Amino acid sequence: MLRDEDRIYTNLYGFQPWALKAAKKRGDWDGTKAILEKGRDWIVGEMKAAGLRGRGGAGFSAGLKWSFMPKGEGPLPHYLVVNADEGEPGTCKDRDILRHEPHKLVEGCLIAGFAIGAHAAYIYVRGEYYNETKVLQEAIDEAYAAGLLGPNACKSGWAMDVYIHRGMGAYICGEESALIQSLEGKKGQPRAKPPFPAGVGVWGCPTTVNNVETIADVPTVLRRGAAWFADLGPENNNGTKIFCISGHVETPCCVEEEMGIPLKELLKKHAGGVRGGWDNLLAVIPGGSSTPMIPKDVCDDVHMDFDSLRNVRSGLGTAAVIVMDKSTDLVAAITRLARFYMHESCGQCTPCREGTGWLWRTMVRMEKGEATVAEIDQLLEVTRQIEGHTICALGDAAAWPIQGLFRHFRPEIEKRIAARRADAKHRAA
Amino acid sequence: MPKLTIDGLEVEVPAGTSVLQAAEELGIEIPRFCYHPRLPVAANCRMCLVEIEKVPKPVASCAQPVGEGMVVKTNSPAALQARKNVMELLLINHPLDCPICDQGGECDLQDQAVAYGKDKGRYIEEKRAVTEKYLGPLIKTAMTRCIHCTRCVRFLTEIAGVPELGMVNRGEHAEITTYVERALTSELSGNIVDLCPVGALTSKPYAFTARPWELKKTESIDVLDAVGSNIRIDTRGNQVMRVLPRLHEDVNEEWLGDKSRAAIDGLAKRRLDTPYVRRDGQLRPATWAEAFAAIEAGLSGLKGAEIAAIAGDLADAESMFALKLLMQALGSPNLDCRQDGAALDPKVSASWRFNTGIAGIEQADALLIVGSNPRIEAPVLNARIRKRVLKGGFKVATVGVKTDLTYAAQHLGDGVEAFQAVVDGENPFFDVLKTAERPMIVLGMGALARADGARILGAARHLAEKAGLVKDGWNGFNVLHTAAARVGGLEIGFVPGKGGLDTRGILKAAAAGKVKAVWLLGADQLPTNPLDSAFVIYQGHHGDVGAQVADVILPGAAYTEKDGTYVNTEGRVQRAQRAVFPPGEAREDWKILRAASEVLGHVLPFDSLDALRDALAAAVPAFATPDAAAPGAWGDFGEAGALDAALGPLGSAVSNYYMTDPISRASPTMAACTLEIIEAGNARTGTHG
Amino acid sequence: MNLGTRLYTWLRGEFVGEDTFGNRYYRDRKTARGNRERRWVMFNGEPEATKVPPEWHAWLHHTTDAPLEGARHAWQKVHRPNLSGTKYAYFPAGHDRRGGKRDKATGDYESWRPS
Repeated sequence: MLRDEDRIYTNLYGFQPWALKAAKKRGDWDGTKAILEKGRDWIVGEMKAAGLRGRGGAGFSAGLKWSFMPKGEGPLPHYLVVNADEGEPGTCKDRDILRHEPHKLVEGCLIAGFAIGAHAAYIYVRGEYYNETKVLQEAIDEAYAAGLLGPNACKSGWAMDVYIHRGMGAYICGEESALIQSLEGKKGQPRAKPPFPAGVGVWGCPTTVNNVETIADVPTVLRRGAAWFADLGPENNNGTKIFCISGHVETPCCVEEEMGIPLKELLKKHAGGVRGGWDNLLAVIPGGSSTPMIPKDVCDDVHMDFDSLRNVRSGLGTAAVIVMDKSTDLVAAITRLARFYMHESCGQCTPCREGTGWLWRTMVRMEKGEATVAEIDQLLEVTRQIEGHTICALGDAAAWPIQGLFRHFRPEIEKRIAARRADAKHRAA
Repeated sequence: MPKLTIDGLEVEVPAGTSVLQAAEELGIEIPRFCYHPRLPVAANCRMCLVEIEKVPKPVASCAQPVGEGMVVKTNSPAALQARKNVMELLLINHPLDCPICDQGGECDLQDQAVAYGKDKGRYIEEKRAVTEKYLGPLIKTAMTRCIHCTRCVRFLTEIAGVPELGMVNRGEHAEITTYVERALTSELSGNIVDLCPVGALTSKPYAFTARPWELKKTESIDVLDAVGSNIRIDTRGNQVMRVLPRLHEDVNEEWLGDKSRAAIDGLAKRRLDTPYVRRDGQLRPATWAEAFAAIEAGLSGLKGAEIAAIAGDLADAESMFALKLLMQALGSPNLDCRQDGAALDPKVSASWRFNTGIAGIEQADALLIVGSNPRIEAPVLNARIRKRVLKGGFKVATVGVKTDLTYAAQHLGDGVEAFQAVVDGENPFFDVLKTAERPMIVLGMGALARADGARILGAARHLAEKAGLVKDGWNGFNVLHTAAARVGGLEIGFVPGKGGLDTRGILKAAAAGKVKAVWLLGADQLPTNPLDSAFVIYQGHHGDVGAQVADVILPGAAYTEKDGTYVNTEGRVQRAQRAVFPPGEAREDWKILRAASEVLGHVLPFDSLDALRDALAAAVPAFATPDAAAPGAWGDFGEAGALDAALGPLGSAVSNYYMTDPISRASPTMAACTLEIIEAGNARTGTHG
Repeated sequence: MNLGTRLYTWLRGEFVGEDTFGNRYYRDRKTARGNRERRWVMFNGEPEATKVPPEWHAWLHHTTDAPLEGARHAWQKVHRPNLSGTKYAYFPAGHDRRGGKRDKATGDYESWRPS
């Protein structure tokens, strides 16, 4: 259980104003200049020591990512891009940061930008977040007016500009290279890697793309020290994380908690427990729509962190916990997700473009029980045909929910198919 | 130089090479659809997946740069399975309508499905159908077949520089389309038909006419512009069915202009297939004997100076050489191969060649284009300039009417004043040329065919010498021709002899009655009024301008119908080969001249093409070494004197790319292109953005 | 129709019917056990196998026991015998006997004519 003094986001629910004055009272922009004065290497080293893993889903160490950027000032400018294109179904953590804690993000942009040698940061905000964008823009304006950003940000001598770019609502633009394409004004399609953005990113310049939560974590981590952050959570999964709990719980919410908290405790303490009691639980999607679901018996004792969830063949993802009780038609739920991925596939590379539609159509028949048992194996084979064969991870994301469903609930579906057959036979007779 | 192992074989390749290219070095073929060596890498078809040790997922080999010590397996079970998987997914929405698809038999998807396809499909849902797109008179679409490799998009955007094609929508609904329904305006658009690995883009004029295995393939040379693109002529029976580009790194790489590709239906229209003789003011069909008799009658009693010969744009070197010998035998000094009156100096070979060479453009670092629009005069050459521009560090400036060249070019001015300013060093671009390491100038026929062309040529030579365009190992003085026969004619010396008249002189003398007989060797770009009173012998293959005024018509062979030698604008001697036979009574041109010489009593000293070529090579050594291009010898050429601004702005010699010669003027496809691309473009309304 | 057939018909034949073209159809009055009934036609005019209309053709070849009805559908056309060798014979478009104007074929070209 996270102690209140260890919370990073003290205004996650917007009980206080988001504006600069209130933010400063909460500790934002405190000693930013001093942090910057310690230098680039210190910041990157401290981030590595803190072990902050990227909060956007992949869980790649932020400090390590920053260290990939070319050292010193080369002929090309460096850029920081903040990924606020929060599109993963079930996820709403960045939204709360943008509207209630924008100064944490803006301060994070300055520090992260300094650490990677960037003089400009682009925050790519999901188009649907209109009010959030307004708040963020005002926060940036406040920061400029107070001299916290601009040619001499925080009087540190470092020039830093922060720009907002609004997306147009494509899920794929949350993928870093597609986001870069979109930022450049092109069609949002992932690029082939290598080259990685740290070498060739926005407009061909070295670029670091980080999630909103990662960047917003940075100032507090540096202020309170790597040791404090590393102390929280299990080894290799340090710190706190905002969990977005939705679905069949009594009080769905966004809550900051320590990494590695047991799922059962998380739901009980913050979300009022599963609707109808723990025994009414059927399955949980632990990390946003693209992670495979885990059934109740796994949920009983799984801990919410990157490695524990990977050990049960799922993932922490964006920590968007979707709870489904026994009233849920799991096949229908996954069919809906399959449709989502078909709709959001960018259409660039073959397996995802062609495969996601196939998955959805087969799932529609599965849902009604019209498929055959042999088709279950075929469906799983198709998911494996897509998985790992694509440019970006959307192909994997489309395949995993279906694999998770069949891994744990295959007998249910076989039963459904058999029932439908019996019914049809009965009616024919 | 990283060293890596592919399928157990070690190979060392330069850093930055992709795994796919490294495998090709070893002769290991990796299947691919989207990858093309001349296009940017997209890595979206996922067909080239290979297994790399220590990498968990299969890797797209086209986009993966090689690394030191990499161990690649291209045919491991995992890699093969990955390709089979991708192939199945490619085929689920592909219509499999090969029996009615024009690509059948030369389709990458068909071929690779044989290697990697499953024996039957497992996809039982409904297939996707996509509406056809309109891409103009040259390209037929069947977009349901599209596999979204985006080769066409990348070609038009990167190589042709006309970003008119793109992918709209996403996921399953992704479609390749012109954003608005309009014909592609690129002169290189036909190449996307070759690039398309499936039958989504096929040739409209060729649609449903032949299967690739029925065709006889003849390797030849294109003559519809002066680039001398290498082509393959596909014929069935005695008809040219299509023309495809052939690889030649120094000339056309593997591209071909739309005119060269699609004007071939003009070869079956308005053909001269029998000799004609004018009797009582009317042209009447005749036999060869009657035609030769008429020529003998027409020329008898004329003095040499009263006879003249003009060679046209499509004439091959052999026939020009034969005609030159015949004229010499008849005692006539009046011959010219510059029917547009271009002021090229026949004495200095550097003054008429594209000395830098087409491939040499890639080494240049500054370019001045004068009186030329390479985009429509030589689209393939223009693509080479664009390629150089995209590499960066290349300054381009133009003098002449401003046009869209598909790359950024500084426009210095419309008229000769702007050129004079550069020559005098008053324009800052002079310094750009002077400081550049490998500067070049391209002089077009729009400048040289003017009345002050000789002075422009002289000014250009002056500029070349002053700005250091010509130095050791580099000759940056270039003339861009528009006619395939021109350089050949100049090499042979099909130019006025001692005291002879050039084209302008011949026409003037003919009008005045001083020249009484003119032999036109396919010359159709002339004002014919001055020839009304003269005895005109027209030797050619199409009933165009020249045939109308002729007194005797000798039906010759078009470029697909004879073995001929052509010299491109670089001075590269190339051999075209006969793909079909001339129609009707028409004959190869050198044979006609040989036969006529016998009737006229001056038998030409050769009986076979080989003998003719030997004689030609003996007279002009350059013809002995085909496919070699070298800069010409520098010398003093051009005239000094003020340029004439009153002649108006410097335009291009070509006003309509699709119609420049008798073949393309006779072509219905080219007429459709003119109508739908050029005239539709002109008719844009004020609301056009 | 040679004499033998006429004689046979007169001696052994039983008249079955006549089609619209005037061909008369016969069968054996008596059939030996184990043998198939014999059916034949006396042509009206020239003996020509294709003159038999389909409804009688089926009976004649033992496909049906009785001749079929005549035109049962509006779209059925009147039967015509093979017209090859007659002046009504079919010639494809482009045939010399139909003017010789054929469709375009490979290798065709349009020659120039002085105007």
